[in-house]
Amino acid sequence: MNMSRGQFFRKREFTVLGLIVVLAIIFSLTTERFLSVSNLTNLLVQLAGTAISAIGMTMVIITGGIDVSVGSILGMSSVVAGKLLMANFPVVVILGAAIATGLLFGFFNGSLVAYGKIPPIIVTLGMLNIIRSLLFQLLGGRWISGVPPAIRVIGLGKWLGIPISMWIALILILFFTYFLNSRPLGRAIYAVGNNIEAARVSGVNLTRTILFVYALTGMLVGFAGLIYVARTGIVQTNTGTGFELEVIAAVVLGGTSILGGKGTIVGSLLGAFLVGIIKNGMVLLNVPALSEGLVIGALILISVVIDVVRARGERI
Amino acid sequence: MRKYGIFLIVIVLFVLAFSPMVLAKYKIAFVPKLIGIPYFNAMEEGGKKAAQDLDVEFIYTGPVTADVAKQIEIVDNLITQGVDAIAVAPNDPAAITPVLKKAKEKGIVVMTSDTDGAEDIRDVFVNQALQDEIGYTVMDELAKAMNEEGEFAIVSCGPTAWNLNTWILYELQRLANYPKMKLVTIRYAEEDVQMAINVMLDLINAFPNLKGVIGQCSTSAPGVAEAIEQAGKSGQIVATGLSVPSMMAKYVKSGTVKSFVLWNPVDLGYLTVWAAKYLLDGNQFEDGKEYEVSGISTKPRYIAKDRMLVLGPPKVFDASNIDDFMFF
Repeated sequence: MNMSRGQFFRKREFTVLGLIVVLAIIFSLTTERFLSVSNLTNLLVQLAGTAISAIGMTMVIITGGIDVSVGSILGMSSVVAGKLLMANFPVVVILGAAIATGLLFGFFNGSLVAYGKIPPIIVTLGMLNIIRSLLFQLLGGRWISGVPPAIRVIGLGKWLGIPISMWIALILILFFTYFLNSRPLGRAIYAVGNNIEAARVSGVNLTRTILFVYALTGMLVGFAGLIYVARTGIVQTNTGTGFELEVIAAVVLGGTSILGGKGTIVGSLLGAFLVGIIKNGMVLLNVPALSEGLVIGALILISVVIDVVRARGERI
Repeated sequence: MRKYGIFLIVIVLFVLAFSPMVLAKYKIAFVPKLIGIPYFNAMEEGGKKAAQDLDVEFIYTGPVTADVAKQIEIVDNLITQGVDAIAVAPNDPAAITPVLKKAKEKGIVVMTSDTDGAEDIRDVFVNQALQDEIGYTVMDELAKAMNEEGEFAIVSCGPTAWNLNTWILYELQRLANYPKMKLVTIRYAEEDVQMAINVMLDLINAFPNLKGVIGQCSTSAPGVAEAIEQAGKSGQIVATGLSVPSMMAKYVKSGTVKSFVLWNPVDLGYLTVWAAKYLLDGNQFEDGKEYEVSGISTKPRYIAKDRMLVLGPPKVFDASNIDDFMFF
């Protein structure tokens, strides 16, 4: 996608990036710890799982859908990975199993939406509960703890100072940005979200496209589940609850229209960074914990308002 | 005479016909805040053991998340089932009141256990340990590990959890004994290990002089310990708090956690069922009396003004005893 410089500055991504830069400057001036290597690595480690899941969620929302079951899928793939780890399976098997678990549920979501023509919010809300309940049965109320260190390099390892999980996230983001912009299936995702009738008439395979975005989201979340286990070494019965809101917030903040048709993966990464940097800064500045939500909520609204005002100016 | 004989036979038949009801076991139910966490699993285990020892039927049921409305619904169903006693660890001390009142009106023995609520209605609150003793013990353990000096932080869980906030209050009260220690911040991490890790990693960066931290609940205590190890600060920052041995063992063995505090939830579950049976048998508790309960390791004491049965003093777990408690 070629764009002139003027176009870039008018884009939502620029607003978010601008906010991130402004906040980073404020935080580095007010606390000397913000720019420390350990703090920045923390920030990256904390965001990797959200960023990877947001890739799939961006595509789902671009098609005009939504997936609220990702928190439960994350929990389920963590359980599968955790159980296999405790049984000392090789890392490759565990990686495959975590991703396959996510794929399975994503495929199921996608089938119901694509073939069953059931609204995505209903399908994934149902699955949110079903998967969480299955997870309970599987864990039998016991948490998994004391995961062997073999896997932990994925969660804690670093290469060139950047966490391995973030490298993986960046590679996936680059690949899927290319995919969305340049591959026929990627373009079809935008087409479905922009005007589903027009897309159908122009020969887009609707069911295949929709099935794909949910299945892909499942896979990516499955992988994020593995990172979760690798990082914490503990799987709780409520692992991943509320995760869906984190991912959706990152995507929406990053400029993806909740109505579909518009959005980028890089925007979602920036959205995730914005929330992450605010939370991090609040702790560094020692803002009382109970007003954290106030600040984050206000900044989310401000960034959206700036965007809306800018869009109005555009039209004049 | 014959008439008298027939009357006798009728009486005997009558008694025989209804004897299963008279001899039927008491049905005692416990409704935890949520099922599926190691802590309440341990209470369930204790309850089961007591049910076996005391020959009663034990029902363990609860919501899958700490849901206020679901819990009320479950208590309502138990009333319909016709149990003899209900013990609840309420998710909301006020919201549980109406349904417990209904239970009481049906003649059911109503109790709270682990967390109090419906104070005017319930017959007795089975308390794991006095709130102030818990807070004081946690602070003392932290002070010991920090040599009574330096900066420390508290990572709590739900910001509205009444028991956690009360313990924090007593911890701060006890802080007056340690003038060289300074609390720098209190943060909240929900009941989520990952969030506790994230918060603690941020705190390690924010406060370079940090020497100690209290993880206020069973998820935040292992979370903060894990974060200290991930940041390579083991030996420089010590963690303590309230959690279960199975989650903390790793950090006790590596030295990041010198000691932590809890009580024995298995004993608490046992005592809950024992107390229900004691009341169903028509007994009354006496103020200040210490009870001998075979099957548990402490001597519970009754405090009449609060209608509260206290399991005992809080228990400190460290490298010397943790291996004996790995079952919860």
